Amino acid sequence: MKVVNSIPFESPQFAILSDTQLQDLHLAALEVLRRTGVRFQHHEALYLLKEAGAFISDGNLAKFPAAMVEDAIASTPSRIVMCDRDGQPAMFLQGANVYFGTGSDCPNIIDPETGRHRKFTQADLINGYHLCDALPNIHFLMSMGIPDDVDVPLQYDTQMALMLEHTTKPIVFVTNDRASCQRAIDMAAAVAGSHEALVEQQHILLYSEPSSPLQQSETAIDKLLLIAEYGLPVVHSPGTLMGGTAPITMAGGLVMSLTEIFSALVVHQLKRPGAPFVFGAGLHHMDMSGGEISYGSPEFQLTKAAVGQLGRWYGMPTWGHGACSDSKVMDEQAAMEAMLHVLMARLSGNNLAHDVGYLESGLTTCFEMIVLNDELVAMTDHIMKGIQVSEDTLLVDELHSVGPGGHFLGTEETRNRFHDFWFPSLLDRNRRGTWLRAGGTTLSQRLNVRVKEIIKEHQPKPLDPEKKRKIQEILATAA
Amino acid sequence: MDWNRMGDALYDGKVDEVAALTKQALDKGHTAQEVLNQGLLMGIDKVGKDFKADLLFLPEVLRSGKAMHAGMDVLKPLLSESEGTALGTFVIGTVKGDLHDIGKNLVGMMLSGVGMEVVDLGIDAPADKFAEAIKEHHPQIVGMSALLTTTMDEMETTIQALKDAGLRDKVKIMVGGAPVTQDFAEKIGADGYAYDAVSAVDLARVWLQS
Repeated sequence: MKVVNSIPFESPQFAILSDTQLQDLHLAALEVLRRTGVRFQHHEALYLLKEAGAFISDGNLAKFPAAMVEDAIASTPSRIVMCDRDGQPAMFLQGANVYFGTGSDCPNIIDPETGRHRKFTQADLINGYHLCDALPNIHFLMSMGIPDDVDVPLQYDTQMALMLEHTTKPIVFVTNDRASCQRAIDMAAAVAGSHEALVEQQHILLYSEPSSPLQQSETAIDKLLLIAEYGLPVVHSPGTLMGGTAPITMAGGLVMSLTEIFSALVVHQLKRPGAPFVFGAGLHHMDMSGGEISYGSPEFQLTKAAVGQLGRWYGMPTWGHGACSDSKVMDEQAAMEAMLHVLMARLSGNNLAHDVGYLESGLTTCFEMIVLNDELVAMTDHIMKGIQVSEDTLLVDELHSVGPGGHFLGTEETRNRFHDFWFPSLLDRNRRGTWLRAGGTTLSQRLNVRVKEIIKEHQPKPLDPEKKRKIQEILATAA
Repeated sequence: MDWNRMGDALYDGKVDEVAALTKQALDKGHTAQEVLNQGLLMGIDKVGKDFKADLLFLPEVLRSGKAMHAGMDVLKPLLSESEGTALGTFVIGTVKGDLHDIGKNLVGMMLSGVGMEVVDLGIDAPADKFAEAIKEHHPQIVGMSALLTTTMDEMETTIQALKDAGLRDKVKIMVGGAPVTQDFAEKIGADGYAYDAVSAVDLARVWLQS
């Protein structure tokens, strides 16, 4: 049967904001940038801004003409290609592509051996990096934990050194200050072969934050300018708390986030026009029962979707969130919030969906959540594929040849295509008897088994010993 | 004769190729029994093993079953009746009042896939249809299926009818279907219960060997 004059509509169509709403948010942010302004605790930034036409008052308050902001948006590239450690393209941060990765710097971990909540260690970092290196649907890494057994000034440098050694996947890094940011870049350059090679085949991306509301700290802008100088990518993402550090509405939170992002972007693009920048914000709200920061709220999903859509509207790569939860353990709440995060990230098209594995407002990393995220990405891949309607899939002839009362069990079409449906690897669809015979385990138990298997078995591609030595040399300068 | 090639074609569910290779083997002078044992049964054995090892999925097994059938169709006229049904005969049907048959079909295809002769009575099969089939086909096993809790009891009625007709002891009776359990099977006087298609095949094999 022929399908004529058809425009396929195969995958889910999803948008949270209308064109007018996008426009209104943009215009409101321009108004806040013009009228209220943003404080910069950074001399060079203030100098760059003043030179370019911003209004500086009260020492360090910068106010922005709309054209300055829109010029910065226009000069920001629409795509970033992140490469693996070997320089091969690994993530195309563009359009609605979604890649998943862990979060950074949890002080605690749920010990996969004992199930106990305890401090993060260096050994946990290595295990976590091996785990992410092995999982096909974890595409990039952030540090996950702050190693309690490492001297405080060396913690970020240690994370970077270990990530470079223990995974080939792209790295999003956090660092203390300009000097440690420089060391992180130098370590990655040692691995890439040179600074030039690192910039050409971008393997690392800096995460930094404004200090909401409407302030940019000296260290954050220090790092932002350094990374811009190199032409390496950065996400300067407000972590706002609606009702605390941001207005209580989602629209108000978005306006404030846009203001903070663009005030930094202007400085960033003035430093080096065309330097790669990821549009990102995490708009949490304060749970007013105890003042906690919620990662599992429906509003967090809505603002995440808005950030994805706004970023695409501006023509910039976008930031977002993967499987994280407010729960304290790998339980039903964690699993449902994980699913919501993964599906909403897919629908919203956030290019870098991070914080995979976070529990308890980002205070604890849970390896089981990372494995669950991997499974949920595989599952939602099949939602994003949508329904293909074509001559090839209508199977009118097949239906005709089997006919009323027949069955499709042994047909060639069934045999050739049944694999198009998703098969879970960790979710259980068996009947009770089969499930019982296999141990009658819960999902959490199976996730834990898988975590332990991978940590025991997976060996990432080893890093060239000479490069490892160079990393150690740079690390030694940090003390 | 390249038995591996025939085995591979069977494994890959290539229906026409298996039929063609079967003919070719006969043309080369191999006996039907040789082709059956060295080609078809060897191939289907690997399919069964790999399915149990979770390497193959149902549609692959069923397609291989069809390929096996295509080969058997070529060989049948050349095999004596006992050779052609060497593995035994299995009468299967969905009991009276029940029109559900996908599970029953699955069991039937799996059984014939491993080389059993399967007589399928279809859906809504009353007791006398089972009785007639036993008289006509002399099966070793009769399988009954039901999906509905409202039609499960028809299995007991059928068993009673077979007793009344003096046929009950000539066959082993296996029951299955989503609401059916081991307890239920015992209660109604069946010889066995199959949890799923794979265990139906396993149980049938055990019965036929004993």
